[in-house]
Amino acid sequence: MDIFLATLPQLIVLGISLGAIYALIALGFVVIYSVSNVINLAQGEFLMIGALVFVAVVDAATKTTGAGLAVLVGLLVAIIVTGGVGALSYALAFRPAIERRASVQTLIIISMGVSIVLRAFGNLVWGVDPTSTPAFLPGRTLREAGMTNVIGDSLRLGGVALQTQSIWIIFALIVTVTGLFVFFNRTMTGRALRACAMNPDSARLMGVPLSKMSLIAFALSAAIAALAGAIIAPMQPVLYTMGLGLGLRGFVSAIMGGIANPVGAIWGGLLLGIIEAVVGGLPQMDLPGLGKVNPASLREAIAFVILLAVLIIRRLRGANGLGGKRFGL
Amino acid sequence: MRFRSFLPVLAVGLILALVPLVTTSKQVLGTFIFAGIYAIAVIGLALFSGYAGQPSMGQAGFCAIGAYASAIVATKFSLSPWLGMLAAGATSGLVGWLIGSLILRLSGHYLAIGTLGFGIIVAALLKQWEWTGLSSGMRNVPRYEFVGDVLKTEAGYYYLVLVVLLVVIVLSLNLVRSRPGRALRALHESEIGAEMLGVDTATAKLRVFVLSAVLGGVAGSLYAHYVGSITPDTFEFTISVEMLVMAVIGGVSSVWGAAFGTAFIWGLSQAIKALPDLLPSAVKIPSITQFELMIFGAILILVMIFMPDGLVPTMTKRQRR
Amino acid sequence: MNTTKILSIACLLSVTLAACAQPTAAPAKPADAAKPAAPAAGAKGDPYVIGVLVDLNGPSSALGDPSKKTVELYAKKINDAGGVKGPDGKMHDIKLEVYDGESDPAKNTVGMKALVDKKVLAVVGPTSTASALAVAPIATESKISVMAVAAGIAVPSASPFMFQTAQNDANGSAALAGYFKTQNIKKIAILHDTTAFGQGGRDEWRKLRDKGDVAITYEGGFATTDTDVSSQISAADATKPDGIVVWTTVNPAAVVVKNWANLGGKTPIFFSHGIGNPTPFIKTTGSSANGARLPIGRIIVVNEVPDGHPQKSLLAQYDKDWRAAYNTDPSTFGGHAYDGFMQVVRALETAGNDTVKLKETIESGKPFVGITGVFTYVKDNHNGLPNDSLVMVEIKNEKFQLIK
Repeated sequence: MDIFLATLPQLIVLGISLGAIYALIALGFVVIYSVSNVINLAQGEFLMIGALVFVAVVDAATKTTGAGLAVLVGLLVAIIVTGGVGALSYALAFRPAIERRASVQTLIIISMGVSIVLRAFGNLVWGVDPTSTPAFLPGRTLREAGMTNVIGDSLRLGGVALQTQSIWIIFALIVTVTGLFVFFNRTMTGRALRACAMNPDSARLMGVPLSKMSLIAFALSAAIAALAGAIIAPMQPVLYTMGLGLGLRGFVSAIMGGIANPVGAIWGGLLLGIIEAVVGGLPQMDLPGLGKVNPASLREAIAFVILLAVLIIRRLRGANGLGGKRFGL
Repeated sequence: MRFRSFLPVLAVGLILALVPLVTTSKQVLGTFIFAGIYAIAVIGLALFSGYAGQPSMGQAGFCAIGAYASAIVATKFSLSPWLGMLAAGATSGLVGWLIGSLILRLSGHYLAIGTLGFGIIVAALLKQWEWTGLSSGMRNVPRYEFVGDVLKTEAGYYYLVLVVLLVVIVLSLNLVRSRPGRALRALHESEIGAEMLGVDTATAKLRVFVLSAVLGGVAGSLYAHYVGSITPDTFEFTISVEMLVMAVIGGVSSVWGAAFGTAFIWGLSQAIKALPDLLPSAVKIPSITQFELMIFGAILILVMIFMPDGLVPTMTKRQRR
Repeated sequence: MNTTKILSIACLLSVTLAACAQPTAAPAKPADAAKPAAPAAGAKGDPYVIGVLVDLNGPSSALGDPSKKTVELYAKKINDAGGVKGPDGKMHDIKLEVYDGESDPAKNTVGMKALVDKKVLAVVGPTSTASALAVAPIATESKISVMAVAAGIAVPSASPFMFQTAQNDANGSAALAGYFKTQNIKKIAILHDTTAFGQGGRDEWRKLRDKGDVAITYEGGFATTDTDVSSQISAADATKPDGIVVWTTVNPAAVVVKNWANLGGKTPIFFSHGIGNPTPFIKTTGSSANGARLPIGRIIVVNEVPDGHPQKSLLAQYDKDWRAAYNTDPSTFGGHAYDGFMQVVRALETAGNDTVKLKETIESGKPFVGITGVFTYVKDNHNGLPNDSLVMVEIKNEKFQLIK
């Protein structure tokens, strides 16, 4: 237990950087759901496409432009391409169904279909082997610049290691949230989107084209997923199956936060990330029926037990989810 | 139950009973057997999803509990596999009742997360259970015994699954048309409305949840004794999601829809794989192994676009027009 | 309401009919594929049909894909050279029937049945242990040999007709434990994934601990879908072991080694033989895997295998063939499929269409020099690999290098 307490600060730092990824993915769910009432289970596959495109562009561009510029070009291309994939999947798969007044469950199944097609596409184009890119800010560069507290690709801050890539993740999360805030509050399109989110019927009466707004929402949230995919590309094996696990975590975070609530999604992501990291570092325990078990092996199960306990307790107190208001950026 | 409503079940049963007589293909019989086993679980899922108005994303968890309970009874205690099936239904029903009393307090999407979490927790716990072989699972699970080795043959097992499926369909249709069934339907339309009509919605929901768990458990038992080996991965959450797809594509809240949706998904996936063999030999197409899943996903999307209510409700509506 | 029922019946009926159409078409295939034999080549027999039951999608596809590619490559080579000479004196082409099991034991079960329908003489695959166990009863019943590329310890004994062409947990841990003795490594921390492979490895290390070979300071599990394993590494580091042993496959191993490097890489790290395709692994990990050591099949370090070694010429040939066909580096996974496929082909020469005789020929105890190792299958040993089929390598400068 002493060992566990000694590593606790490290675990919490890890949890926050994990949680920031989940939050970023969760935001994609929120944007789509708010505008078009679709729970898009293909969000993880948008991320996968974004990450694979990013790696491909970085690989191709590094030789000609150098690493720094390659990352920028890669980000740009990944976001644009994936945004296009998002818009395309709305136009081809979701819009026709919504026009035929498909139910929420039908739309979930369509998103399953989209994710099956995208996964198969990823397999076909990029194969079954994993790939990755170097960190945006490699530890080597920092060491050459004279920083002494750098190990691998992570900074040492008072005994706690923080990956340089985690800083980018948190930065991306802040930029995305700020960007969404500005977009939804300061631009005409954004305000129209918000109107759809708050009251689709009156938005329609006011002449807001719901279909066009949904198209934008899909493109936007696919772009956010691509950003998340590109930023974790240096930390994760990038391949066609990666969307499954990450998409699931983003989905859970989004629902924990109230599915239509961006601030809730961020809290949901951080909560999930911290639970995962801390449970992973727990020492071996005696569990009834299972004998001596390392809780790390049960990380997914324990994370869900905690999440469900939180939900049920809050429900008993009369609240739903983590609280906060519907799409109130 | 009136005889008239029995008729279609009888007719479907008779037609399906012919299958082993007209084909000896192991692939076809195997596909039907798996589709039948899945259909039992999917009917359970549809009863709950259809009447609670919320997708269940954890049905495979109940299948896992049933499969393990049945396999434990048959291998660890060397008792009759039939007792295993009984234990499967009872155990998953009990777990369904316990879990249901907890998570049915949640509503809306939180309930979906509740069922999803349940499925993931079950699979994760089974992976850590030494007694049942951790992630390697259990093997040498024997077949049910009936008049010698009848159920050890493919056709014999086919008829067993068919009989269980038909019984499940009859019972489910009965439930749907009964007073509690109508109460459940009211629940789907409007929970508050149902409550105002004097329906105890909480109890009604819990009952149908337990029923869907029992059906999942029975399906799990049939799976375990058919395949002969089970692992926790066999019942992962992706299987739960697959079952949800089967229920919705057939037409959620319809017993026939669940059965037909399951047959459709299994049949489609196998038909795509057999496509090069199915085409006349004059039409030569290159290997499509790489495109199978893409075709499958695309057809799934198209069906849902053009039949948003699912196959069975849409077709019956067209017929009526 | 009546129309509902009638339509449902019609639907079910149509599915029934559609499905029933399959068997009539399937058996017709081999016959019409048996094109009139080229008169110049003399009498050519009907093709030998071999099933390829592999996972091309889902978590096991990293293993299934090179298996399929290898079998396709060598079937083509054999056919280009005129085919296999059967016991009837005629030349027979090899015809492959590929079925994608999609990493699902139920689909693999149906796939095995589909292959039996197509009258295959033997099957290469399945890819995962769960699927291998699921198809075992069908292998026994239909008397068709199954050359499983899965690594689970239960695989070789699952059916009299099932063979294993991959090193299992016991092979891998024995090789690593032998190396630890030479390096004076006594206290280890174990990180394993929660699959059958990972847990099997942990259990083997527990056995070695009980024998007194090593002490275990920490045991921690992780799921193959985990995005980060730093917590477990921190916890393992804190128990001050001489080395961290990680029992998992390629993708999770990449996550672990990156986390390990970012936490400072303080404790030496060792992996299982599950990292069978080094090039994607190195592409994923970059320099962070430098210093890691693991036991691996010789195909990975083919250029460093001494010339006198019995496998040397075959390894060099496979390496060349694979590179020429697919323009990537070969993996041990493809090697497992090669060993299964070529042992079947060799047995076909004496057994022909007789599947029982085929099985008996494979397990007749005649050594087979393969990519994985030198196999000697006998009736009671369907793994057939000696412990020296693995060599120790260290990752240096982003390359797998033989430790001499």
